[in-house]
Amino acid sequence: VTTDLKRILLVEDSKQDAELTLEALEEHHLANEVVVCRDGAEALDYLNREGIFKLRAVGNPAVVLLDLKLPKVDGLQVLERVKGDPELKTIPVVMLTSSREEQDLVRSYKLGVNAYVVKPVEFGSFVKALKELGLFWAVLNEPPPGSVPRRGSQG
Amino acid sequence: MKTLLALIAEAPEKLQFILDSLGDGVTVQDASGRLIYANPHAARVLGFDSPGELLDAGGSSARERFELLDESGKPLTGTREPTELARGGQASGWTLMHFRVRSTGEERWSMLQATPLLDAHGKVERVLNVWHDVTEQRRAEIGARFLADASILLASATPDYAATLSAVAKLAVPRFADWCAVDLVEGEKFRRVEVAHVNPEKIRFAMEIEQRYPAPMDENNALVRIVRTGKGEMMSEIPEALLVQSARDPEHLRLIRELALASYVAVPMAARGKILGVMTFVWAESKRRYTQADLKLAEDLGRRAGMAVDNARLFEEVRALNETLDRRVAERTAALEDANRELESFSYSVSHDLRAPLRHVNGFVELLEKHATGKLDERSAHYLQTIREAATRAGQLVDDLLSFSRMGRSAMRSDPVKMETLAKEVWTELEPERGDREIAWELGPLPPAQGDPALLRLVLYNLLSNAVKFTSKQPSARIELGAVEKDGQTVYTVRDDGAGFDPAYMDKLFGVFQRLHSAEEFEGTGIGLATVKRIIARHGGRIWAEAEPGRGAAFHFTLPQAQEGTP
Repeated sequence: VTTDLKRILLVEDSKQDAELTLEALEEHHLANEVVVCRDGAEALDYLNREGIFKLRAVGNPAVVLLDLKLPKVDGLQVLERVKGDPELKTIPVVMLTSSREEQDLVRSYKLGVNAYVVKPVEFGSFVKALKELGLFWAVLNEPPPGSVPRRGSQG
Repeated sequence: MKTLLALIAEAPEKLQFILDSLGDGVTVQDASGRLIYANPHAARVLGFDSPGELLDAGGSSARERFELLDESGKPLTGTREPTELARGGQASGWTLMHFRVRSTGEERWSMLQATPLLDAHGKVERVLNVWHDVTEQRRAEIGARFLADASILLASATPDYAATLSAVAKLAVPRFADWCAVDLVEGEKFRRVEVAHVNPEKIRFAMEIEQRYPAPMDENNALVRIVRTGKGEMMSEIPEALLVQSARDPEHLRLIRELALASYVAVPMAARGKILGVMTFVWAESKRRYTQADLKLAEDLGRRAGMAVDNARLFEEVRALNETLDRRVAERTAALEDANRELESFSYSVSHDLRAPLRHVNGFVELLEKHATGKLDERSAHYLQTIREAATRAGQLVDDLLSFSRMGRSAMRSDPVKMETLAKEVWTELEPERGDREIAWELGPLPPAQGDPALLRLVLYNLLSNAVKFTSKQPSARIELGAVEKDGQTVYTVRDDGAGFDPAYMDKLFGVFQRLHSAEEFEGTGIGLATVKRIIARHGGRIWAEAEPGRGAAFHFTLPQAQEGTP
């Protein structure tokens, strides 16, 4: 399987959450820029171009939207590996989570997370939050060198 | 009435009788210092059996029969004795003589007055010595001082009572005994905690004998007798027959004879009706004898020692008990901490696993609404609306519950809090809820409180938003927040003239998810007052309410006053 390099890596184990996130991003025409991984191990494979992602194009996504609770390798572990890897640590990581528990917040920031968002229950707020996130990290923010450039801006 | 002198002149043998029966010693020396007369008492005081023996010993050799000592019992040198003074023509006055009788080794004390007797020419012809023996008084004094010193030791005893008893035994030697042994009862046996003697060689020697010939555990052993009877024993003179009787063989007899045991006192160490041990005192080489007074003194000491041992053991028991308690508290605390951690991970799961499906319901309903715009009849649209509202509300409940449980666990600050400023801020914050309603807001002067500013803000927010909410059905309302000082605490009161509630349900008022009004009447999750109560309780305060349906409600709560010296 080969996969194109996308601008947004969404790591989300819940089918429903993934679908809602894509719907929300779709409202801002960002859905095509998203690759979805269903657990932490898969996400690390994608980032490191290993396993089923061995053949994907070189480059880092502009942002990783990372769910906290994941099967196999959980979100905090993925975050730790990304921020501890010289090749990956410049990728902005946004923690997306259901949890309001403080320890996750504190641990995430200690591990070097770039943003931390508690998913709102209300869909309207969720869409709004994702719009802002997507716009900021995938569109407005100047990504670090080695990230895939914005479509259409290549000229 | 004839004078004494006239009586003596008539019958000189009467003088002999008087001197013989006198309780004081009288000796007379000639000018050269030679003894020419001694009455029986003087002979005894100086360690001779009779005046004849004393006189036969002659002048200077009689003096050699005893040795003068200083206060501490060491030989005294370089002092002019009273007799010498008198031979020089000077009366000595009463002088305390402390000496050891060389033949018996016995220490004695005597007051001596030496007076020169002059001839017709005023020359010293004789010296008259009067001896007043004070040995018994001095011994009693020394014994009393020993008892006092030992009592101080025992009274300040540490839990290491064996060490204290050792020290007491060492204190007894040589003031009250040549030997002192302390044995503690341990089950059916004795544990010897100390044997004291001024000479360590002697102690080794005695221990060797004890090892070769252990004391029998029967009635022949004074220790066994004393533990059984609880009574002290005194033998002022140990008879030779007793030594022979207790010796196992000729070698044993030879060895115990070498110890020269002369007199003993053995007393129980008792407390609360139990014999805890025995103290034994023995006079040996100093040839002294115990008296009934010594037995009383030793018994007194035994009682004090028994109490000291008992106290030390009780102290140890209490300490061990405390240790057990500490350990138990630590165990329980650990168990509680475990339970708390479990609860935390439970709320963590709730937070994750309950919120997610609610979010999904919400999200997909919204998507459905969007997709089906124009295709749904009014009733279907209403159903979707209801589903969304229910999911949103359930999400709110979960969030409230989680913050409520977090509040119980989080660390609390303790700062001075300006309650009045806080109340003004909260009132402003409530502007959206108040809208353009007509509310008379009365804020009394509020003294500052001591507590966690964020939590106290939550208290005021909950109580004031309740007041706003429960007055919302009326055209105009009145809400008051005031305070009074009472018993070192401040009682704050929030009062409204709104819907009130039935005091019959007062006990449910502060419960989690307890609501006294239907959701249609007044919205809310029923967690606000539970939160308030929890915060007040964590501040060491109390909260209570009074109300009547339709006549408003008042909430009173107490908080500690701001600590002095802080702004």
